[in-house]
Amino acid sequence: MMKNGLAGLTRRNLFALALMSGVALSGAAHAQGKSLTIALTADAVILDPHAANELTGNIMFYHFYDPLVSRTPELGFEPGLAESWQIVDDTTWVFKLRKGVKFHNGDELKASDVVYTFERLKKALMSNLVANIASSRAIDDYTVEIKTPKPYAVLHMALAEVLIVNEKYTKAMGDEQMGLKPMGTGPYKLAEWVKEDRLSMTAHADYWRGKPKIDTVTFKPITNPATRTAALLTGGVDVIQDLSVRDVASVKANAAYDVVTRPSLLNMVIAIDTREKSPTIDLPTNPMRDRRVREALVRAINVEAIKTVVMNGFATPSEQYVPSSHLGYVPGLDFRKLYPFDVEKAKALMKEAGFEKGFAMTLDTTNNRYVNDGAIAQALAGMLARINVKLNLNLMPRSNFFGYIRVPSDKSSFIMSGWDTPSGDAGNMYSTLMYSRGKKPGFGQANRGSFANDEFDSWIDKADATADIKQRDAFLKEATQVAAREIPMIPLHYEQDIYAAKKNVKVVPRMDKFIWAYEMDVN
Amino acid sequence: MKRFAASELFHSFRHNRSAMIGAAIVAMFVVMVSIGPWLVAQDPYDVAQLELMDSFKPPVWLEGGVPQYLLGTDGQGRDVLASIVYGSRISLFIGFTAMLGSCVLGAALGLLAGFYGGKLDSVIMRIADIQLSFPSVLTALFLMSAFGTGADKVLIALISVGWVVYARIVRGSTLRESQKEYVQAARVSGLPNRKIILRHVLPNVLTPLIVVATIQVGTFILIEASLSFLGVGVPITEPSLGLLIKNGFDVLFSGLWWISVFPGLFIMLIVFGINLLGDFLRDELNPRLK
Repeated sequence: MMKNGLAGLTRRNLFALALMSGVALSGAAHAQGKSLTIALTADAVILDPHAANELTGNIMFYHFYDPLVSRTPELGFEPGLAESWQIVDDTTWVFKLRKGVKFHNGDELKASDVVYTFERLKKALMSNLVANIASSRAIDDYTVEIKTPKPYAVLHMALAEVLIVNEKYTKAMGDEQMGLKPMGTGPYKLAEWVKEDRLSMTAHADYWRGKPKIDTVTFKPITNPATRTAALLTGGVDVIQDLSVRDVASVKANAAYDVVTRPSLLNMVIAIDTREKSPTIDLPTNPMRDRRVREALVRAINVEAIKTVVMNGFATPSEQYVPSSHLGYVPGLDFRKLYPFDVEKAKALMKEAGFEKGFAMTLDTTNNRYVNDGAIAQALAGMLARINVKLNLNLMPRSNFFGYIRVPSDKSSFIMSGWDTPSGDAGNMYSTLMYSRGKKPGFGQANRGSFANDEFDSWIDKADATADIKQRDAFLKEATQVAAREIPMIPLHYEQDIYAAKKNVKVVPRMDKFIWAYEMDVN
Repeated sequence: MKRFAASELFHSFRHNRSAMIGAAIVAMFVVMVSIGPWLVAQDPYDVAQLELMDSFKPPVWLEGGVPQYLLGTDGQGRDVLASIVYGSRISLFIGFTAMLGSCVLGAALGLLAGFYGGKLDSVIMRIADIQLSFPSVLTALFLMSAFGTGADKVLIALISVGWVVYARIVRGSTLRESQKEYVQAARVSGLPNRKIILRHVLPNVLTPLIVVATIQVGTFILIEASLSFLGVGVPITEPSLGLLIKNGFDVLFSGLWWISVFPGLFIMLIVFGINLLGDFLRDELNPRLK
């Protein structure tokens, strides 16, 4: 509208302008609203929490919606929309809802909304979130009973990822509108979403945890790390996600800003194709079916060098597939000690396996999704060239990448991506990424290398069949041992989350990397 | 050669300082891309030769610089000087080949349109008009995202952007030449059209092309750099000058200026040299400016 210039204003436009300034004025009168602008690395694809599961979208979802069980910044679990729950028998859980929880439109949260959410999810893109819910019913307005198909010890942890929608509103809006106009019980309401430019939200005054401290929150997607730093330094934004590792020193030195770092859960992993014939390897059989070749690949990669040079020190080499806080982590087991960086040994293994002359293949990864992903890929190419494995790089923007590598991964041999398991449980990652494909519905759906190992699968089956957390942990540890021996994937490092913010902003970094404005404050 | 040395063109060249400078720059550039790879120690396109621990070394005259890397290294331990030498090869190859390609295509279409006129003329020239109404980088960007990346795709994109200028110029000159007596005479004597076009019209419409072609090499080098900068050009393991600038740009704010500044200066120098030479040719070959 401004493009027309003032001269071009029609009477109707003038009226709208007057109306808008009226709204702005009343907004200003309303308690000197605190506001906060946060630069993220990307924009959400869709705002329907049941239709997507990637970091940027998730960050936004948790502002609009709440789960039954909430995850704390330190990955603990506390009551959310459910004030308590109990396990009635092996496969039955009962959740008591909080009373008086208000949706943005004023409706009160009822048990029927929860039941409806599970039903909707079953048919939605993210149906894996409710794979462990057989049925649910409302006992009364504030009590929900959930049945699991078999004993499932971590149902409450899994429910932390299920965001509750309003039955009436969702049915009235339809799926397409739900992707654009989110409406939940969360601390913020959507004010405006201009795709790839900004998403602004206003505080939900009746929020059940109490009114948010910050009144207006705006997210801006800024992909380029240098531009993001510049946006902070020029005052355009208050907080940035993923400060470039190269900029940490200079921003830290500036007294007007704080840099907050914390180890993240995002494990960079490389999926190794183990099929008979691999799409990008021009050999009759896939050399990587040989465990020795997989071990040689691990040994040829200098994770320390990637950490110091490419990541400027801001990474933690991964010992295993999941961090030590998780069920299934084996204390003392470390890929770096099991298969230390050793080019000579790697060459010997390649020779032993009959591939002294090496082979060529393509590495598929992103160039704008993970911290320095393109640079890591180039470094990998250099390292593997020393054992005669020629790595052609296929770097894609994240918008193409995830479609390109989608299982059955029929174009890929070697895929680098990040994986985080905020549920605090290795079983989640193992059953999605490493469980044999096509054996059981809902399992192995992201098994990009087609790894198939019956022993591994059996430990997962056992873990999924027990209601006892200790036992589950023990079974998952066995699975971890098998995976460390068979090397279905190469774990590289955990990223470090680096935020930079103006001094007057209190940033609470979360282990799951979800930025949540409700926990922040501005002075 | 002797005839050229005695020619009027060479004479005015000798007395035109900016033309001499331009030629010197271009000559230096040509020498560098032809023998440069044997003078630098590292092949920056061979990933096995890169030493990750040597990355982000500053130029030799700064603290922390090492003599092995005169202009410093980038984030993969690639020698900036060696990358410039190799990158210029790609840039020059792309700029020159794309110029030749669009010149041949554009001239052919222009000759056809101008000589035959009628429907053929309208169709070709309308396509050219539509093409001209899009910014060239945008068109190239669109083509690259449709066909994928790589040096060959850059070439296709540049040629499909570049032919228009030639087509318009050649069509104009052809229209003029076709009216002249010598063409009429050739027609009357029963010469086939093909021969008239190639033997009589073409040589007389060539001169203005040379000027455009020279300047276009520079333009193409810039467009290729922009495409690579936008991430749709050459592969990341074989950086051209534009990609080098992009890689450096990501760390520019962190004080690691040499990765993008040197390749940037170099592109500037090259295009400057080519344009000086082009300006000179325009002044000399255009009878109206004499």
